[in-house]
Parts: sequence; C-alpha cells; structure tokens
Amino acid sequence: MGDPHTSQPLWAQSASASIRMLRGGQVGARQLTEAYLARIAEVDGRIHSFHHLAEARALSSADAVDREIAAGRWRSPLQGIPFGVKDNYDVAGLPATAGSRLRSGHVPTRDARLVADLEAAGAVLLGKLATWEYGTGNGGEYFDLPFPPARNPWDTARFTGGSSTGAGAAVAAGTTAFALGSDTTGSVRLPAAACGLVGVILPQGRLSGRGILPNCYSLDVPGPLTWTVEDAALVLDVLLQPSVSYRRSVTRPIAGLRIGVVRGPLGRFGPPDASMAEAFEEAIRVLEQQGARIEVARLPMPVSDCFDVTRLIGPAESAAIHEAELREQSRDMGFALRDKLLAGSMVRAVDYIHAQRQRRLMAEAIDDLVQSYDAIITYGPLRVAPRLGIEPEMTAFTVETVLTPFNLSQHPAIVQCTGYSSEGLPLSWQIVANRHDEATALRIAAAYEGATPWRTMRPTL
Amino acid sequence: MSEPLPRPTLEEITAFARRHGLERLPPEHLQRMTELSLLVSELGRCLPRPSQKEDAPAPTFEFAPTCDR
Repeated sequence: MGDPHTSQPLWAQSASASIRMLRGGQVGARQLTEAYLARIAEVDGRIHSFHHLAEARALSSADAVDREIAAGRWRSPLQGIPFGVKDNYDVAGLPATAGSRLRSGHVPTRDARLVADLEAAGAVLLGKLATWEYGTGNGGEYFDLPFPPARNPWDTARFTGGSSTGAGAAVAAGTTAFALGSDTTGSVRLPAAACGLVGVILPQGRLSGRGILPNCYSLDVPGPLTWTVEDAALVLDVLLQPSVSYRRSVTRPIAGLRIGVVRGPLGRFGPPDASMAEAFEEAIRVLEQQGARIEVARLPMPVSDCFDVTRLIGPAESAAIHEAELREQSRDMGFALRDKLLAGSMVRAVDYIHAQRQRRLMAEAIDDLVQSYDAIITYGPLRVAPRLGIEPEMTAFTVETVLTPFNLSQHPAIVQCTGYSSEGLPLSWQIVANRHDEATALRIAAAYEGATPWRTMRPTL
Repeated sequence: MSEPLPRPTLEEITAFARRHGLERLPPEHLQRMTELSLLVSELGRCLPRPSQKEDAPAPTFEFAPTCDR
C-alpha cells in the first residue's frame, strides 16, 4: 500500500508524508516498517546499504508504537518512522564494526545519544548502515573491507560518496526513511550530494557525538541525511527541540533575504563539471524569482587551501585516536585507514599547531563573509558521482569540493539536489548559514525544493 | 622552489617507528611510510605560517561543550 493520493509505495514517500499517514490512521507503524524491510529484501543485495539489519527489534518497536497510537499517546513527530544509523554509531546489543574487521565481535552496551533520543521519540531503528572503515578514508575504494562497498542507487556502478556510504544509498533507495551519518570534511554532505539527498551539518556541540566512534576530535560532527528539506527539519526538531520549530521556519518565504553566491576561488581544484555549473546557475535564478536578493560573493581564500589544512589536522588526530590499533593490528586494516594513520603518525606537532592556527584565521575570515549575508550559497562537490573503484575519479569527487571551509569554520551547512545530469546523476549545491541560524538555510533549501520537481524522482533499481 | 627532499631509507623509517612505538609494523607498512613521509613533510613545509605570534590555534577541544558530546 502507498499514499492513496500519489500511489507511491510507502518506502518512496518522504518521512513527513508517512507521518501524515500515521497521524491520519491510513497506515500503522508495523505496516510502514514492513514496507521498508520488504524494500531492503528487494534491493539491498544490489546496493549494500546495510551492515547489520535489526529486523526483530524494528518490528517490536513498531508494534510498541502502534499500541501507543491506539491508546492515543503521541510521543513525537517521528513516532513510527524507520531510520538507520551509520555503523560508527553505538547501538546497545547490535554489532558496531565501523566497517572494520578490527571491531568484529564488538557489541556496545549503550546507545549513542542521538540513537537513544530518536528511539525515545518513537522512531524505529532498522539497523546499521555501511561506512568506510572507521568512518574515514582517502576517497578511494579498495575492496579490502569485510563488507562490500555500498553502491549508488542512481547507477550501481557508481560511488555513493563517503564516508557515510550506506546512509546515502539507503535514503535514496528507500531502504530507510532517514539516516544519521557523521561528517569530518564532508562525509554527510558527499553522500547526500552523490545520492541526490538533503544532508545537514551543524557546528560542533549542537548534536551530541557521544557514542559515535571518533575520527577527528576537532572536526567531527554528526548529521542527518533525508529525502526532503521538511524531513531534515523534522529530524532536527526532534533532536534539538528548538523554541521555534524548524518545520515552521521552512514554510516562510525567502523574499528579501540577502544571499551571497560564492563561485570561488577554487584554487587548484579547477572548474566544476559543466552540468554542476549549469544547475547551480539555474538554481540561483529559482531563488531570484522568489524575491531573494542575490549578490556575488567570494571566499576569502582558495578552497584548496582549506583542504590542505585539513590534511594535516585529520590524519594527525586519527593517528592519535587509533594509535593502539595501528601499533598492534595494522595488517587487519584496509588500505585507506592504514595509509591515513601511517601518514598521521608522521605529522609534526609543530605543523599540526600551525594548521590549527591557520584554521582559526580561515574560520574568522569565513565567518566575516557569512555574517555579511543571511546565507551564502556555494558548490558542494564539483563533480558528479564517480565510477566505483576508479581511484582518480573517486579521489577527485571526494577532495575537490567546497565543503571543507565550513568544517573548519563550523557553520551550519546543507547540501541538496539541484537536478540531474544527462546521465541521470544527481547534481547539488550547498547553503551555508550563520551560526545558530540553520533555520535560514533550511528555509532557503525548502523554497528551492518547493519550486523544483526533483523530489518527484526516485532512482530505478 | 626548494630542492626536492630525499626519500628516507627504510632503515631511517624503521628507526623512527621504533622510537615512536610502531616497532611492530610489518616491513611493507614501513616501506609505505617511506613514501608517505615525503608527502607529509611537504604538507607541513608548504603550510603558510600565521604572521603574528598572537594568532593562537583554533579552540580545538571544547571544555564546556553546549551538549554532552
């Protein structure tokens, strides 16, 4: 059964549409959960979005939700909605491999804080989603991990974007309604871009990282991946409980908002793919038509300079975090993790400190730029989803982005779909708002989404 | 442009690894370190230095987080 108004199967609906059906009594939580489990059984063998499925737990949770609904008890707007979490989140009683043979047999006894919050809100956990080993990587795929790599539902020969690979594949393919990932230099926004989704990050400390395997203390942030902007607002409403609901914020018009459009400088990353650039310019026109005041802006430094700073910070911190494993178990690691830790072990403390000093200067300059506007718009990745296993393409997709400046500066940022290339691959952009004003980014994203047809298209599997 | 750095020998990297608790790395991983060491040192050498000594690092690790991270 699907939405009677659109004849969509349940898995193809947005989470928000499913909530309306749950509230209207048109579907139950068990029925909804079973629809996702059936979708997983149907397609996950081709996209490998899940590492661990928790079918019995999910059905038990859904039955509990149905009993509550029957008793008239509504816990939250996510009650009864199925979700998945990247396999670097702890879930009590479920394997937490983080995609690594180093952690085979590791079963936490406590939930990550965000998992606990979502389950307390009545959301239904389906299982653990695929990730690059330890939630990190160098952009390449080496087929040397204990799980097959997740594949992009828009073209299964292509990469999902990493490191939250399964989160991207699952939300696009409808094997979950929404997902939680984690982002150090793009790991929520890259899969959101490659898979045509909404991916959101907030500054550190806004969403709890407790119970998530760390990758880089000074840059890691968790974040949701959703099909629509309204869904992202909904998840953030439940997790952050703002005084003014994000779902209300996204309905406000954008006329009069000052938006800085940043096209560069890109430094050595070169120009974006032509299809990405065309979609970007067309999307700007969509905002202009809604009365937004569009102004040309410019990053205060080449974006590749920002990436270079993260290349010292990230590996050094990862090498500190995972030092014990590198000392004792380097043979059991995949190439990408091991290479990063080997390199990180050789970063001088002096260079690490200079990188953090540069980061501060960059962050202050970026903040000055963002504060000049209500929001700025940039490219996300400069490339469309690459072919899986073609290392230069994958590395270019992962590295050549405009994502890292806002990890360094800790601004709220959203990646969303801006259409599809002639090959049917998702295109994307990024909206960046002032700190503690993610509502404005969501509002702009919702205005764009509402004026374009991209959410009516799902990948064919 | 400065002269390219010579790649460290396997013996030099092995000694480095021993000094820093990585003595159990297998030879192929030590060999890889000899290749990576040039990239790492180049990244560090090429990073511009802030001009003012007062330019302190970013507040790297929060001691009073806004939620229980």
